[in-house]
Amino acid sequence: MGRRLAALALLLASITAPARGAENLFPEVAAAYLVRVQDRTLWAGDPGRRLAPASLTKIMAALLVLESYQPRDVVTVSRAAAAETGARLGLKAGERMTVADLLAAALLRSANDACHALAEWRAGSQIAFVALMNRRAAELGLRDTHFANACGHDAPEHYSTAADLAALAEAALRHPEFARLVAQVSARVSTAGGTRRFRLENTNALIGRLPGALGVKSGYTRGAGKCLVAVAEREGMRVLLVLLDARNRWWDAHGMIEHAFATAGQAP
Amino acid sequence: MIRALRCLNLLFPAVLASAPLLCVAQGQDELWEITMSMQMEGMSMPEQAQRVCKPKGKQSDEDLVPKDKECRVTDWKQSGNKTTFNMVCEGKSKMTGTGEFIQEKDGYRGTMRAKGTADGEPFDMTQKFAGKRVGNCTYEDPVKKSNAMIAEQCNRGMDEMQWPLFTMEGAMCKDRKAEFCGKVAKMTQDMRDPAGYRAAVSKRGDWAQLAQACGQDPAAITADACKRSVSAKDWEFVMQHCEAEGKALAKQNCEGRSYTAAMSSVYAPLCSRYTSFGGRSYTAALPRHTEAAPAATAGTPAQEAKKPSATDQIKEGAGKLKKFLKF
Repeated sequence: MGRRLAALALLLASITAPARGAENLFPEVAAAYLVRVQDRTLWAGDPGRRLAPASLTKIMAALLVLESYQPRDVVTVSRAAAAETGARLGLKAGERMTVADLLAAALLRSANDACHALAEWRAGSQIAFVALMNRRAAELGLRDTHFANACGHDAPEHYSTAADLAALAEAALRHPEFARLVAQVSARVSTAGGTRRFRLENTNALIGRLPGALGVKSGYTRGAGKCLVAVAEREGMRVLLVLLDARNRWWDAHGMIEHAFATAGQAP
Repeated sequence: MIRALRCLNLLFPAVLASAPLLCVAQGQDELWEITMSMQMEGMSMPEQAQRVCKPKGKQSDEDLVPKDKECRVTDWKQSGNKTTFNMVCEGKSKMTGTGEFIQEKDGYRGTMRAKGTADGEPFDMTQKFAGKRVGNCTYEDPVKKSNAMIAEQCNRGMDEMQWPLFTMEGAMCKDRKAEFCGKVAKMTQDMRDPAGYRAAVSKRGDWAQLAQACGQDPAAITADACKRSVSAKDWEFVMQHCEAEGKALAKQNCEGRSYTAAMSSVYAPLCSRYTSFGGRSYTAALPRHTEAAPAATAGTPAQEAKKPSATDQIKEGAGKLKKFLKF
């Protein structure tokens, strides 16, 4: 019931404060983008265009994990999880790691093996987990979002939009553990028993470099290009940025967020 | 009527002007009550009295005769307590006159008859005057008093560094310009260091005017402070006061570097400033920054197109934004 109400609220919010009315001031920045200050979308370019979200997918994965969070549960890494490609922790089949550490690895290093292991822990299989992801997306009113895998690999039926990802990020950030994890510059995790230790550097380059940066997630695949959802807050003013297939992700994200703060600060 | 007023201007105010003007009730000097009246064809002025303070023993008998500075007393003759004299006035209202006065126990009284022309019209008038000592007072020389007030104002102006008082043409305190500019020089010398510059700017919003008033070049002072702030890597100062230096440093140390490398360097504040809102005019002229390969790589990164950066577009869109933002 609570989820349905939240979904309804998000749906209403997306209708009443749509990106539709925002100006597209930076058409060259990315294939699609959106900048929101507080609850108002300031600038947007093709915010409803369906594009590959790459590892921004893991925001949904993390949301589902946190919604039935058992941080001390120990997960045994499957062969499928260990065989994941792209960014990974390098977990071996049969190794064991807590849900909390897997989640940190999935969010900070964007580790696909950790993400896959979490999907299997949560739903029994990646296929079942993806079904949960799509159901949750529908509950959140993300009409232009569909997942084909748990962690963000390119696939024809794996897509989202800047507007949907903004809403998804806002929903995830309501979970304190999610907000805490994505705000970290780095973290340390280990396999169960401490056999292997890993230092995780946050792939979100804005953390620790852009004043007020609070997260959220970066992503890259050949098909998706460079993607980013970022949130920064200064003196109670919150800026959220989504870039999909960005050309110069970090510099432009930094500049756009700074500019959003400056512009909003100057507004009467 | 006009003629009469001109005559009055010549004589009556003269009494007031030549008499000591300022007095207080107690003291060692002399408090006098002076009365005057005047009659001439067509008009008369009733008796008027005024109390004035005169310095003790510093006035001659001639001072008792009311006159303007353009008038001079001649043929001064004293016999007993009676004195006679002649008066000649030059200037716009030429006149000649004869008069007399009698010294009394505690004062004097006298008359003067004068003839002359004012604005080409002849006049003939008779003036009566009398003085009576009524008590003591403390004489304050009006010139000294005025000088003291000026000095006080100049001292305050010096403390508050009110440059117009010292450096403008015909300024009240122009005699102390050298002293004032010495003080300004001390301030501007301190300003050549960033800490001194900050302190001076916070105290004196008009420091540049002060410097210019004393013949110094504010730009040169700022340039010196900027040079030192760059050496000290005082980026806060550089960004606040040295935009040209900041842009040059950003160009040198941020352009072409990856975001993470540049933003982890000592130049990070400059990179941030001059690649975002504050430096959009600078970054607009730069080639696009290159970006390090992302950590989460699942293939060859796409080639970045050589298109205008976000900051270029920020520049173009800045004006539109204010209209758009309603909160």
